[in-house]
Amino acid sequence: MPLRADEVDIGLQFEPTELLYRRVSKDGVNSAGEFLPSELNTISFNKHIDSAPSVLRSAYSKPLDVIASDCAGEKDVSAWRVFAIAVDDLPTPVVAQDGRSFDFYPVHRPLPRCGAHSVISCCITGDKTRIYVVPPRSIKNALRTKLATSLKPVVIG
Amino acid sequence: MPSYAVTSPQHRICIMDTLKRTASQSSTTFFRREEERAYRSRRSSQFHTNRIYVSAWIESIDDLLGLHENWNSYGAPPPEVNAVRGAKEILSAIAGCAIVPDNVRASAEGGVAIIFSGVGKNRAIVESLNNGEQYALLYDLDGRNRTIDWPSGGNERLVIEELESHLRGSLLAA
Repeated sequence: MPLRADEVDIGLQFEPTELLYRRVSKDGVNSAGEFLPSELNTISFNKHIDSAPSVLRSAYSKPLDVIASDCAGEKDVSAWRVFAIAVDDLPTPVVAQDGRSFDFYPVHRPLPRCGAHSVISCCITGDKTRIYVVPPRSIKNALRTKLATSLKPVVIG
Repeated sequence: MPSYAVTSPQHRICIMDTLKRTASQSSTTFFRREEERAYRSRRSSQFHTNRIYVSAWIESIDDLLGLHENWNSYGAPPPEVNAVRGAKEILSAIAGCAIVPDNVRASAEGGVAIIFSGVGKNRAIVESLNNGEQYALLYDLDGRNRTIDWPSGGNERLVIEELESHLRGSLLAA
């Protein structure tokens, strides 16, 4: 059972080696088992940080939690696959064609029945206030590509 | 264990060398023409096969309109009619080319993703989104990537050539 929001410490910093989990259906990988960038939605990049790309942080979850319905909006995803990326491997910074540079970083945003829920947020590099910004299409695609090619399959045992 | 494997390119070069030394100019030309004709025939056959594959995708793509909201469990919207129409136009544009999609499926961005695998680590996705955006995302498994807007109005030739070149193994800038 995934931990609930009241069972996690929101102040716990992300360690560089901490894993971020993401699930995908069996059709969301190609014949070689590679995670497809088109499975990552960055359309949710907007002022509401909670709709940025979702992951589960390993400090408060196990791979099995990623395919639990509590962490999937009650959807049955028990047969889906789980991939992971270490915080230190997040593609950041990413430089846009116009020269602007963007940082991506995890933010812990627990949901009532999924305490490990987090999002990958985005800000202009060097912006100490880390105000959330909407990156251009080339940056969105760079993030999707780099994330997809960095996500490694997790064996659920 | 003896091996009887002979690589055909070496064999072909031997024939041409012999022809150069012993055959007349006209017979050499004849063989070249025959070789070109065979090459054109193979290409024509390949294009015909590709056209059939792509036509099958175009016919089945409307099935994506039956997807529900949150189909990927992360809140992705289903493809809309305009995105599907755009994807059909893109598929029609590549139908006569030497590339065939591996798959055509919904994009988590909200729209349709046309997925390609290329030589070595090279991959590509062409997306037609609900918001009207259309682009080719060229990438490799080392994370290098490039986004090219998909032009409208039948001017897609240059983008298709870049897509073909990438899938044949051209390197992306780091």
